[in-house]
Amino acid sequence: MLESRLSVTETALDRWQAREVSTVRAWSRNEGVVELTRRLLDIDRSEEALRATAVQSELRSHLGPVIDAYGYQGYFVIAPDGTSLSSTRDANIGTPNLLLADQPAVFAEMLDGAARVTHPQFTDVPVENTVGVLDSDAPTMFVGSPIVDDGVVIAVLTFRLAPEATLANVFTTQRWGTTGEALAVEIDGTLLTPSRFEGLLASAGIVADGGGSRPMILADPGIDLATVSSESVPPFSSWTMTPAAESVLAGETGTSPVGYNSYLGRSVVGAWTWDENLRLGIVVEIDEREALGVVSAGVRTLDAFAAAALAATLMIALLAAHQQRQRREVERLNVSLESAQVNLRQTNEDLAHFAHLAAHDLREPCQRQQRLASLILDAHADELGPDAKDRLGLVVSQSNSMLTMIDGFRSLTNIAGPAICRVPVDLDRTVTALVDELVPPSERPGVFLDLPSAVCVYPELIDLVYRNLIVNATRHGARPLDLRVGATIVDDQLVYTVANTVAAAPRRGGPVDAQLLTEESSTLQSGLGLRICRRVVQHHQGTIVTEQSDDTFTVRFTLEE
Amino acid sequence: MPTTIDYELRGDGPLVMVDDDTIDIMLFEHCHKRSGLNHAFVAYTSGEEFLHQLHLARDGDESLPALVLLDINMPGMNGFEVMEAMRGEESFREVPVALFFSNSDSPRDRERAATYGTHVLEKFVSVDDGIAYLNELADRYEHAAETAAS
Repeated sequence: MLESRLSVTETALDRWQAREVSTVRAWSRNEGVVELTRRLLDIDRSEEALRATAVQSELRSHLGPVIDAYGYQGYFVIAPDGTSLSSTRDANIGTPNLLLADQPAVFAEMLDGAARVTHPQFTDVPVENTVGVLDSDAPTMFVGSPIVDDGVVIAVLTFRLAPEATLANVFTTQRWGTTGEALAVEIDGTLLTPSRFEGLLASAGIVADGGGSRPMILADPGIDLATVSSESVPPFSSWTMTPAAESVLAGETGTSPVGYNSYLGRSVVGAWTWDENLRLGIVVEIDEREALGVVSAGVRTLDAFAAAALAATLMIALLAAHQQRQRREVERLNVSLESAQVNLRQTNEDLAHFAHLAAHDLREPCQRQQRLASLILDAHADELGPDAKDRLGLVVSQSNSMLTMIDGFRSLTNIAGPAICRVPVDLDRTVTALVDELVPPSERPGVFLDLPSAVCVYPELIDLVYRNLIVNATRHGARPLDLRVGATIVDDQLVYTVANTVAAAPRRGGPVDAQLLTEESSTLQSGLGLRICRRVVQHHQGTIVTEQSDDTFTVRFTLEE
Repeated sequence: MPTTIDYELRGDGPLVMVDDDTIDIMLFEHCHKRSGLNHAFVAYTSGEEFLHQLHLARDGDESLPALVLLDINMPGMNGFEVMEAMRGEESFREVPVALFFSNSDSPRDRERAATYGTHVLEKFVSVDDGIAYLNELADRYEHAAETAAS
């Protein structure tokens, strides 16, 4: 924590320097400043001549607003030989500049082209301190930049800084907590920036000449100044340099997590570093008790973070474990599902096989019946009368119906049978054949067909449904038979129709059949063929509806085509 | 039922039917009588009986069947086993065989029949269908004979 505070303060100091340098550099390149400096250089280098020239007032007028705006305490234009060519005050003009005397190396840097802030030093003339009183002991600093004319450094422009104002801002903004502060310390241990505890220092009678209250050096009074009256404050000569001051003034960088007495006589912890460029020390300190509290808070915060992290880790672990369990459960269910699917497939295959066997076993007798009937009809045609032939014909047609029903069952189970395909069918011819097979010749005049000749349909399904409906209508319809079989296209869909007249009080051929065709029925009643029709139609995404008018029962069905 | 066949009777030996169903045999026999086919018609009700007679015919230097109509589903040796037995002997390999299927037979049987590359035939339901088939056989035989003679 202390190191980070120190680092932040250093950064703030660097930024302050950069701002000051930027300002002075800009004005050192100002055309007016360059021109006026050029004129000054042409004047006799004596104090009288330099003070008397009108250039002074011009230059002061030129730079006056800058000084006011930036809070500078004055300016200098310094000749390469160190003579102050121009200044805010006449007293400096024509005399060797303080910078040359006190910081010749820095001045040389500026002549060499560098723009920079100087070290703090004692002022050569009284300057206003923080309380607005002219103070001859107040520290002073400059920011300077070379004035260049045609690539040649002809002079140096400096602005006088008030460390206790401008620099102070840099450090006072670094205060933190209740007692934490950052301090700039001069080479002799003098505080360059105000203490956070000016009030306490004033109460303790620690006042500098001029009214500002700051200790001469960063030294330990040996007693907590907050606990004593000004009369009891030990003499300044008995104060000892604080460990921070000793270290920083030795050019060292360090920290002291262990408490030491500050300039207030309190136990503090601190960190410090020496800025060789500015030749000042940077010290950050905070009361030890507060630091421990911060550390404790930090530790508590860390603990809280750690606890939160631990809790989060536990949560994640629990979640992961839960997910793992769920994954296992899903896997187990998948295995079960797969196993169930395998069983189902096996069951279906077994069913299919059984259905095939059942269908075969059911069909065979029917087909044999048909063949036998066909054989008898043909072989004994001369011996058989018309009635016998009709009856044998019925044997054949009933066998066909039975076969159709078996095929209907098989198509419902959608197993064990050959795939049904849509093929072009002459529907008129197909239904005519059905009528010839199922309707006795004497009743055929009552059958009317209205069917297209060329449609693409499922012939097995058409045969199945039409067959059952025609059989039903023939069996149960009113007499004389009035049977109408048709198919029309409605809204791009083929709609098949079988309509017959019904008896006045039908046992069948009307509402009962309607129920068998359109609803599930739990009662065991005959009408298996009609039930199969319904199932087959619905199984193939078709619809089947019935309509009952006064004397006509109509069935309309569609198939997915 | 229309029948499309792409094979002929081979030689003047009998048309043989192997089927355990006596009604099918009766029907076919009646159709044969009504048809224009001159080849004799012989029926066996088991595969074992047929193979036995086949060996006798070969060993007795008699004419081998011109065509064998073989029912699939028979007790004892089924149609596939009879055909395999015939194919297993060189002297019988050239005898044309047509496997008889009813439309209730398993698709697997049909697939198996396809693997043998043999002819298949739907069992007739009516006398007319049977007569039509036999007449077509007769026509194809006569046509082949005329072509060979010319």
